Amino acid sequence: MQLQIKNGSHLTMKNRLILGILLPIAVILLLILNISIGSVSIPYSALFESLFTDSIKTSWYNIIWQFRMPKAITATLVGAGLSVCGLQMQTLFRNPLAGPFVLGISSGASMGVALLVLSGSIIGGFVHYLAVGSWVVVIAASLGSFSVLMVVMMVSIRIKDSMSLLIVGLMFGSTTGALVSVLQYFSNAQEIQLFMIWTFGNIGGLNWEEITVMFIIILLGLLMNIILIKPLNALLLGENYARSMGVNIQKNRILIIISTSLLAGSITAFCGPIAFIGMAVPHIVRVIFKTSDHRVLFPASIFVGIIIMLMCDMVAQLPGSEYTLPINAITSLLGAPFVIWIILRKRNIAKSF
Amino acid sequence: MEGQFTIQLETFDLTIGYEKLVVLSQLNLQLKKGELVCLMGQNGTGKSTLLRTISGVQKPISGEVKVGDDILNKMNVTDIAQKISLVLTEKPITGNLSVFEIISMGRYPYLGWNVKLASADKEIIERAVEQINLTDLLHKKLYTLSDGQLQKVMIARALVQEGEIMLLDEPTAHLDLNNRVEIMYLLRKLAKDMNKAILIATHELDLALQMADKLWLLDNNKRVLDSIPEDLVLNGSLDTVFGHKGYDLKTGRVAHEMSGEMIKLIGDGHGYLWTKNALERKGYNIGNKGTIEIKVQELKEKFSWTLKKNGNIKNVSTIENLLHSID
Repeated sequence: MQLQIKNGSHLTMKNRLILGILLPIAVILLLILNISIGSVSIPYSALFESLFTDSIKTSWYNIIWQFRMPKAITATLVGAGLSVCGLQMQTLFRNPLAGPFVLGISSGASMGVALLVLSGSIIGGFVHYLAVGSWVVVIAASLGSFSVLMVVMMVSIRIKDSMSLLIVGLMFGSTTGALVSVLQYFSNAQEIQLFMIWTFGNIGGLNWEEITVMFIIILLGLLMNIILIKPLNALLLGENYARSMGVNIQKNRILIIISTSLLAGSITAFCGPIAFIGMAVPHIVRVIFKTSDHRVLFPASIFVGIIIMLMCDMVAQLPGSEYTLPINAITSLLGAPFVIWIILRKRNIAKSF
Repeated sequence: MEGQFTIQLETFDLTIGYEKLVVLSQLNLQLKKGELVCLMGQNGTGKSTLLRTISGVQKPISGEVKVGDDILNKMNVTDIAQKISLVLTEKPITGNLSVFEIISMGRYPYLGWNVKLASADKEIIERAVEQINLTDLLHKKLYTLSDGQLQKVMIARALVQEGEIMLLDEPTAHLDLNNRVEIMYLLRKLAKDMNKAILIATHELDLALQMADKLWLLDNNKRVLDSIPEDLVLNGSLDTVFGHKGYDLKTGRVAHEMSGEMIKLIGDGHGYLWTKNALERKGYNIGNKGTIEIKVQELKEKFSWTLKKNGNIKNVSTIENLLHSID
């Protein structure tokens, strides 16, 4: 038994292999596969050449560097960010159904965008040229989620238990949802269509400048998790136990909210709401690694999140056709049956949670 | 042992409760090293509030709590965590952690952000695991444990935290008799061997009376009586607080309505005791004389009973048959 404890690592050999080799390789392969797929077929040789040199025919070069790479990178950032958010929220709220948006972040963003797009008929139609992913929309979405977030923060400082915070977040979601409905009621068809397109989500509309901004914000949000490992692990035993083990609940709760809003907020602002990934990935990771230790769950969620997002994006491309389906629909369409399958196999999600 | 029975935790004129509701007032209590204290009282009299206050979760209305030489409310959470460890009634939300992972969380107050265990930490964990006999369970997942095993794991976790003080909220609730006794024995052993100051909030009056060095008894007037169990039995405090009906605290037995005949019971040892128990439950009076005479015999660990009634003599081999024969 001495050996068991002395050599005891938080990673078994098998998990070390999956986390250190298998998942990174899968990510790289999927990235290449993702870039190679599209309505224009580009041979792999040309693909690699244009990745590492600029000697290739300009139209292929442009397709890869202006369209496919930005989209693949965006998918990577979205997958990593949303999965980590979901993990944080599930542990903080002790709820397997929690996801990145339970704090009302996406409803706040949608309210911001709705105000911008739909208030056109009230203020005067000046917004018709707006495209999803343009800076005006990004700023509107950010302001929307920021204002909801400020209220949630103020509440979280005042109240002691996380359950109330969860309910407050959900209430904000309903309220902003209702506001958006009212705005829709007074809008014309064209504006509603613009707004609907935003709610479909889009990871293909960002330029390199926007991607750089998003990358920095998401990196910041992910790095914060290094100091959140210990409090989140302790929270698995419940808030009272965590406090008794020296974890400052109030302080860490605010850090978690900041991290989640950086991640989910920036993703929603740039790409619109993207459902399901955040809620599902942590469950998949727990099933694969059979642990609740956040030292494993964090990196694993990042990898698995990226993989699933890249796969969803490839399906959304409808390879061989010229159509692209809304990414927000694909994530749920593919993800929901998958999670149901996991639950059927595991019988009891609470055991793996 | 050096430092035995020094005061670990002391309250000074402590009044606890909520904004407008005083739950308990003017408490001057001491918790000493090597002592097992049971905190008892009716439901809703403030056991949990008291535990919350002396573990630093809740601020007192007035007065103060001293832990060692420090004032509890001026300590930060990490300092408190290194002095006081808790075992609570709430269950962990996850079943997916191994016993080892849960126990090693007890070292969190001493670890950095990456929660990496040093070899000294592992030795402490190892010692606790051996002491509480959890070696076989070490790599089991939480959801496979029974309630009793889980409770032992949580106690091991608290032990690994290395505070001088352990506070436990109903550690034996939901457990069967065997596990209840085992847990109480374990805690008593920790108090004696490890020189811990242990406070247990509990409803198990029978176990508390036999195991506790002291009782903190919450009376119904917002006070706490602090005394050894036997004194509280004899001066009637326990009866007053719990208002027992049908349970005779001084004999430790359930009281029966005695309406039946007098029975003369002859015998000794366990056979005598359990025969008496059965007869009393049926309402018979047991004494030195009576119209019915029962003799308990033991031969090679087998019991038999001889019943004399109205001049008839009958031999039976079980108490059940004996009771039938009397009727």
